Amino acid sequence: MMRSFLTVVLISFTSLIMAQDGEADRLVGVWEPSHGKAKVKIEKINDKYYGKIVWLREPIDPETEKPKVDKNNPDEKMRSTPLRGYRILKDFEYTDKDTWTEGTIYDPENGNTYNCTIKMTDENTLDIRGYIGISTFGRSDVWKRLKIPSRKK
Amino acid sequence: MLLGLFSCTSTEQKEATLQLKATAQGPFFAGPNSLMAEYSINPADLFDSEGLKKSDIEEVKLKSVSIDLAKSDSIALDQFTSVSLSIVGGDEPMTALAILNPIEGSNTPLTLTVSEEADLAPFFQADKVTFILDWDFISDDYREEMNSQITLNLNAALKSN
Repeated sequence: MMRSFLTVVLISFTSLIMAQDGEADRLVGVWEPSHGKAKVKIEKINDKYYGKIVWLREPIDPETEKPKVDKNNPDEKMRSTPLRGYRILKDFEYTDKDTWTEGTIYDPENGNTYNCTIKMTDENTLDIRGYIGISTFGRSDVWKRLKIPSRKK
Repeated sequence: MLLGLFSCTSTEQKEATLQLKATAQGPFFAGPNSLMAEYSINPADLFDSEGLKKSDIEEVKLKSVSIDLAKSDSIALDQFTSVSLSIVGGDEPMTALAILNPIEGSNTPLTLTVSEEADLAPFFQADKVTFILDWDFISDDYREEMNSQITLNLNAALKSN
């Protein structure tokens, strides 16, 4: 009797964890910020979520006539890092219903990193809020999910 | 009478080399693709110092990073524009470690430019870390798997009694 009860508890707990993982993974996909200058692919690495730039509307730096790099990075040694492929969203964890926190967003236009919270307002819309200190004093942007057609081999 | 208590702990500099195999399943699409290598932290083994604990590690800097393609993959350097290395682990934020952009020539191993600011010591407090190697593909590649060898030369400051 006790063994059956424990089995039921274990199965219920496992199902709960799996369901939560499924909810957290809704963040995975390709998203477009409101300015339309870039597209960001969010993926899961270990148990956290990261977003990298996969497309730029203007990929070439007019000054160098070469693909844009992270020229404003505070670490001089890393300024040759290409912007296409750059992870601007880092270390997000699913902490509450439709909310991912504990992460940061990097702005390559000024080399600054901000604390950040992501809220999924619907399946295809994110509210990305970057801030310094407390989230009350920050800036929000709305990102839209892109539907990616399947690739043919 | 005042008695002064003085610590007998000093710091010792040590070097170590870490070799890892990073791998990823294909297909690979034009743009950045991530290969990953996990490493279970074992300071005593890495720094050849019996009894060395994680708490004895004060600072770990990356001295150099080199990357080699697996010969069995038969993939050439001219298929890539750049390669970069990052690390994740424990509660630490993902940290960029090294970059090579552009990739020129055909000689391997490649030597990457190392970040001067990255300190790996906090990562060495975790049980394991993951190194992420991002290869920027020029065009789609439908191979099933890709492997790379990562060689890290480390400089560490260790507490010694």
